[in-house]
Amino acid sequence: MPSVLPGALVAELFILGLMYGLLYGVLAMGLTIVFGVMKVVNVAHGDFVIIGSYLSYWAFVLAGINPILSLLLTIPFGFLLGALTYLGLIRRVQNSPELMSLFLTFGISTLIGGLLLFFYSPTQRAVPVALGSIEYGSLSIPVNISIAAAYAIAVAIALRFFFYRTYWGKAVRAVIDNRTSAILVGINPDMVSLKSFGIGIAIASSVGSIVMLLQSISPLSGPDFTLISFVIVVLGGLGNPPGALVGGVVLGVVESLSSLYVNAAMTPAIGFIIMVIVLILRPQGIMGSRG
Amino acid sequence: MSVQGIDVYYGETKVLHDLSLKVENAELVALLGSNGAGKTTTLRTLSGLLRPAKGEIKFDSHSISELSANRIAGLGISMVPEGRGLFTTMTVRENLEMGAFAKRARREMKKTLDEVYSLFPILKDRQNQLAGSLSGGEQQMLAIGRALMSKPKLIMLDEPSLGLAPIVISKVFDALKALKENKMTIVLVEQNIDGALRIADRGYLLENGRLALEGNPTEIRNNEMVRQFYLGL
Repeated sequence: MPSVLPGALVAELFILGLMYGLLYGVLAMGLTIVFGVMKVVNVAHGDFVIIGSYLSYWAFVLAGINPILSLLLTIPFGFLLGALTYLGLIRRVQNSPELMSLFLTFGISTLIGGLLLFFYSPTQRAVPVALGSIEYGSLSIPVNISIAAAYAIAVAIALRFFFYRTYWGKAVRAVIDNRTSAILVGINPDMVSLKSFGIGIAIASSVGSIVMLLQSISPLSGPDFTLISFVIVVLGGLGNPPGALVGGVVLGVVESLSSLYVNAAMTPAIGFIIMVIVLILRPQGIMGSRG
Repeated sequence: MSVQGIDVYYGETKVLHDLSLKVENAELVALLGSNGAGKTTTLRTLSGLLRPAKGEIKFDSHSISELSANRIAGLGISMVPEGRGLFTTMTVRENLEMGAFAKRARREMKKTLDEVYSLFPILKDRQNQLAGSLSGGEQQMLAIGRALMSKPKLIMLDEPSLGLAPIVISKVFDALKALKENKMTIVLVEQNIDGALRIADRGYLLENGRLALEGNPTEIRNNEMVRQFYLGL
């Protein structure tokens, strides 16, 4: 451990953590929207990320399409896949005890992982795009991470606009707030659930495109993304989308700065340590309200 | 609206027994009874949240017993649920906007919003506040206002006086009276029998999920059992 921390290093780690945190936070927003509307914990959330990653990977390999451009593919594809998954599967367990939906989405996760393994083998895949770094004085920020953060901010703004400025977005908030009252004013909860699941999966699979800029993936990388989203959702407060963004940033920054003190292999544990601390001190989450 | 011989269950427990009632247009009907008599269950059934195991509910001469609650709301039956059921994390204005979700109401949202604001001016002053931050009386006004936003043909209220100070209760009842004078059809569930009978055209008294008594306010007031057990006279 260095006795005096160089300021530039700390600043750089802080910025990197913030940027990663934004991306994680937006991914977790997808999970928390689905939970808020349907009370369904989507254990397959991360596997839909990997579907998006593979889509981007093959778009690059077969057609030379940059993963950033393949967002135009993964966003609508994710929405459609989510809507179909809702119609075909999730809808059946929506009003059952929560354990049923947990089993179902766990099954979907296993299915996606298995199918990807079957078709694409367990080989790690990466897209060789070198984007370099931006230098600010003594700071060096990789471009790919900056793009990830920019995409996350764009999604957060789009979601904010949808939820607070559009009538349908307000209807989704109404269902999250009080499902019975929402039905009593005439909102069709099925339609809201369909759109929410579509949005949740569109977020997941589009984040998959961005992930291809940052790291390599394999068919079984999905649960890692589910786990991190889950930690963030608990941090920010269940069913609270802005909370998820805050939770993501907190996790990203703390994880990143912790690399100054602990071995990199230990960083995944950091998230769980923060989660346990938050659960003890503030069980409703950072932004959650009691009740 | 007419209800013909409905039985309603919560799981295995039968809570409404062969209940029949009728609400004419522009009439204010009070549904009275003590705790657990089945008043809320009746409203939840009429609004489609519960389904009758037997019997039929008709509205505008169509059967609605098989329709989902959101479709029934779309037909113009609006409910102010027990405990008001506001969207507490949304603003006053957003709550009202959501009230106009039904297609035919959404087109006239702006106009209806002005009408509701003139009925309850305090809501306009508070339109950008979160519904959860309002006082009890304001919340009840918002709940009624939200129900009115759907341009309902029939509005059902579950215990609007519950938990309110007497002066606020009389304001709420005044508002209901004004709605009735504007030809609104109203079903009012109340434990506050005296207050409800003051503005009602007719009343039904429920006991243990069965109809115990029906009649106009004078008849109900003068009933020996009502005097003794409900009015304490």
